[in-house]
Amino acid sequence: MPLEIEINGSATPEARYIAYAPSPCRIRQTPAAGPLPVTLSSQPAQPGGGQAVFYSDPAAPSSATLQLTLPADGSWVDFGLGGKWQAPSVDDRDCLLIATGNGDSLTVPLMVRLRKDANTLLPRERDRFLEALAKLNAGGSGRYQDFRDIHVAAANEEEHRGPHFLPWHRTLLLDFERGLQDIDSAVSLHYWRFDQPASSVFQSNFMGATAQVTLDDPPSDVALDSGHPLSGWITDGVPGISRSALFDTQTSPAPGPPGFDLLSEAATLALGDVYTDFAQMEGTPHGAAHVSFVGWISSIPTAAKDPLFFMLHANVDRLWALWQWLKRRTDPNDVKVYRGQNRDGRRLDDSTWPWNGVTTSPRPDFAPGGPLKPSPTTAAPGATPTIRGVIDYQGNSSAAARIGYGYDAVPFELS
Amino acid sequence: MSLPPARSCCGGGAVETVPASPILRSEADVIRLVEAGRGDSAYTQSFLELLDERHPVYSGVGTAAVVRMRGALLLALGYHVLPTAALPFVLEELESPHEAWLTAAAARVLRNHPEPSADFVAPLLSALFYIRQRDDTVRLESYGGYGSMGEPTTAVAEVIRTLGWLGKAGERALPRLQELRAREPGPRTAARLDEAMAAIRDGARTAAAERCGHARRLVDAPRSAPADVTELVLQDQSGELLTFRDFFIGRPSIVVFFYTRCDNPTKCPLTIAKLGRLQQRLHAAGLGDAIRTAAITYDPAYDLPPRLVQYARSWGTSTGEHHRLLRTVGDLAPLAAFFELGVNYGESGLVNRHRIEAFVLDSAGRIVQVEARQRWEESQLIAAAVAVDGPGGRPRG
Amino acid sequence: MSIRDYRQQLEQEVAQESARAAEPSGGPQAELESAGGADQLLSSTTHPEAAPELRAAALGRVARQKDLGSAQVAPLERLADPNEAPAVRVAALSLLKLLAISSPTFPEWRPMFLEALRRAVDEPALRAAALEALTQEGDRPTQEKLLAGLKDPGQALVPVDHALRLLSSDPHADVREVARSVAGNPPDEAALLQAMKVLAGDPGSVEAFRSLLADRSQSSSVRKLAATALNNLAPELLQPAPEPRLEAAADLASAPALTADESALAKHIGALIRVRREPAPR
Repeated sequence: MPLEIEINGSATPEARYIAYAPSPCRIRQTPAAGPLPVTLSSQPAQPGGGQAVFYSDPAAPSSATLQLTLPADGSWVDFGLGGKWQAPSVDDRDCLLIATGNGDSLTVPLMVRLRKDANTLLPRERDRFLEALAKLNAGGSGRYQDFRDIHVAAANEEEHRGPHFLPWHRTLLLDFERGLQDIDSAVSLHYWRFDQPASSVFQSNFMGATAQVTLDDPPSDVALDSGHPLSGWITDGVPGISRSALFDTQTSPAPGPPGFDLLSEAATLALGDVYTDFAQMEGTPHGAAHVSFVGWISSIPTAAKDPLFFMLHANVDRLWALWQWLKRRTDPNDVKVYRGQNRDGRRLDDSTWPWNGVTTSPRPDFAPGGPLKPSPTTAAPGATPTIRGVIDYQGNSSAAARIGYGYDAVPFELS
Repeated sequence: MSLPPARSCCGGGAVETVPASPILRSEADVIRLVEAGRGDSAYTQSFLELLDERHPVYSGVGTAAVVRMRGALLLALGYHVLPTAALPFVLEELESPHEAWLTAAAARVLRNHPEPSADFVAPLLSALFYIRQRDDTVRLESYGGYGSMGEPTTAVAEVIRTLGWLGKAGERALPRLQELRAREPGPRTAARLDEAMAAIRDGARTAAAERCGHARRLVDAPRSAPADVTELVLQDQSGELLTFRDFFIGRPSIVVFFYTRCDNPTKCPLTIAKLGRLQQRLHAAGLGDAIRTAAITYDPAYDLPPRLVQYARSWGTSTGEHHRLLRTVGDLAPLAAFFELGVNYGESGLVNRHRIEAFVLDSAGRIVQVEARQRWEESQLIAAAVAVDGPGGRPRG
Repeated sequence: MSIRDYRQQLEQEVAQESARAAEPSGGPQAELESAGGADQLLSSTTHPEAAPELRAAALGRVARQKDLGSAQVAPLERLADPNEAPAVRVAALSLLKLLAISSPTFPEWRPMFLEALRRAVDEPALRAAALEALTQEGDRPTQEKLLAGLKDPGQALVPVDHALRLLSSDPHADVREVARSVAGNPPDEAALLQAMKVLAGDPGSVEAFRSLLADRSQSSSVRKLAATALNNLAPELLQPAPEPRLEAAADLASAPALTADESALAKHIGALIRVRREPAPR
């Protein structure tokens, strides 16, 4: 094979997943008589598939194709490869990277893997996600229990009610998503966009048909189709998912409590230009989304029993990511980007519990789940992440900070 | 049924015996006894016996009833002067808090101990840290805490007040208290913290004589396993079947107990996490094959192998040839009798109460050391296991 | 849409939102807040002339204006007041649940929250919401009241299935014995299903679940839940159910509903088995 390509530092298929942020790649020819000009391009493997764009260096604007000259001695030439804006994959390997030069060509199938608006998923995307989610729970004895154990009252101070709320949950979601990807690498943690009606999400073939009730009523279990992967969902030894909605899930967004409305996306982005102002979103829309239901998701000690919790938080994280992009807030050294507090777990360079395994005061004595799961597509943020390590998640300020995920509706390029 | 007196490492003061203890079967009996004997040192022994988890009064009752009874017993013991023999139960309640009524009772009666001690600081801080997230209003004069008699208080209020009571003996608590104060926890809590910190700084009391809180029961003579234990069939987290003899006879071992449905994060999750840290120390010292570790479930019918695997993974203990999570395939009773486990079960068969307990066994599978009630230290268990002599002199491996 | 256009669109939307937030609100709300300021708004929450819905909304706006550390004061007062209109108390409860998630001083006012919730249980319009919040917080007195109601219907606060659902979230609520007797003689299917959910953690119920699973007179919901429980307690006893084969068209005509149920059950069991954890190496 005269041409060789590595994606994310590896030749293996496990590493062939990219988001919008440019992944470090490289190409070379087997040593030959002379240099070889090649053209890199990308196209979907089938209609509706993903497409990629190229970066000659991370700071350069993207281009649909890239011309490179490969040295005769076979040394590597670097380039960046990111998903094309609004052209994510639907299936694994449905995006083709094509290198052509001097009559030879090499085609590498890969996936532009992004977290999407769950309400827009194709049935096969939805079903793969559900299958992985169900296997993570494994009828109550799977690794989902770790996430259930992390999000308990005793660990509140580590997770909520302060500036660390957003980066802590970003780290939680990353760990969770990597857990899903250990089961099926084509899966992402899709988000529930709570400021819009999400009629497809609240169906018996997805996150469950969710009855509308008032606060006077008890919740009921969500209804799932026979054979639905989540049929055997068990947490704390009890089957089922207890959730009813205080709104019509087919026609309405999540409302929040009266007078404390759930903010729209635009209103959330409008909270302010600096982190301290934006972080108010912990109250609304975040808290407002939680209490738009009756059932587990409406209270911290029980919220993580409902898998919708993770999709709710994926939207919270997406709003933060969108704000970061819109306001160009990606350099962690800037207090407008993150302003911490002088307390363990809240300073910029503090490591995050429980992944840091720290169980001495003032952290809790227990730290479930072990270090942060690794990914074949990036070394960041490391097994014991810090707050700093998850802020520039796409690597806008520093390419090495890229942690390997992205949202369908949050671009990489800042302009 | 009378139980052997709970030994502690100090004398505990002379106690007049109560003529012919009544047989206690129910919560109502406990209530009557507590009302009759609160503050009367003649009843101290009876109250202490009732705090043994194995007491039949706890069999087949709900967790809520257990909580009520234990809180009332602590209050009765410490009504005037808290005897030193009661300290292990009080400190255990503070170190591993889960119920506001119990934590409040423990903090209150500790103030009736004759002397404060610097050794009370760590349990009180642990109580403060955890019960803050589960605080509740209780009335200590009402049985169970939720009646209408007496002044309302909260577990956090009682714990902070007891920290202040320590006076100078509480100096080690100041950094944590200052840190909590700086977090703006709320006006009432801030005021209480200010008061407590002032009392610590200005306190006239000095550190007391060493407290005797640790109910480390140094076993007088190694206790051998009877035949119904040595041949007991166990199952490990991978599903493999083996007998007690297969695993516990041949090299020394360290054994802890737990169950996956324990809802107190300072008990079983922490026990298993500490076991993991202990294993790391063993491996670092080259003793990972010489000394075995085992975590045995109190709830064998429910804690099947897949649950054991997940629990080990969750809380950070590793498994292998010499390190296993185990369940009894049949009844736990023979093991419970051999280890004298501090556990009891509700009507439905679920654990309604258990203490923290760890054991060191020698190479002949005999119990040579017990660490009970307070958190054990990894280094001490390892040292005890290393010091053990098996048959023929040295531990194998 | 290009990235540049997307940016422009978002910036416009944000600018519009910022402008809207700066405007005074109109309508009846504005009459209550006409002098502006948090205190005016606060008094409007108890304004005797105002309709409960308006006061409920005003309560929310007060909470939003306060910093998170002290926003709970007014809602706690309203929730704890037995003379307050139920609509306002319900809104207060909802706000307090939100603040329980995001307020940094929640540990301090949790006791007051629980006290207010316990009082709210007495008001029928609030009972379900208060019991839900109390059991989510693991409140033992509430668990005991619910248990008492299951043992003696004269003391029941809520129907059997509701009480069992509330108690099922805590294995230490000791509801298993009661659940067994309900399962043995259920007043309705909802109660049976909730009892089964509680017993899904009871190794002593394995045989009962086997019988329920095999019993074709039981509904699809009951049999599916029995399969789920069996998968939890004794997975080796759960075998894939064969899809029923029809020998002849006559079979289809004679028992169409049965076939659909059996098929649903087979799919359900298939899903349970498919997502099981792989056995671990030692």
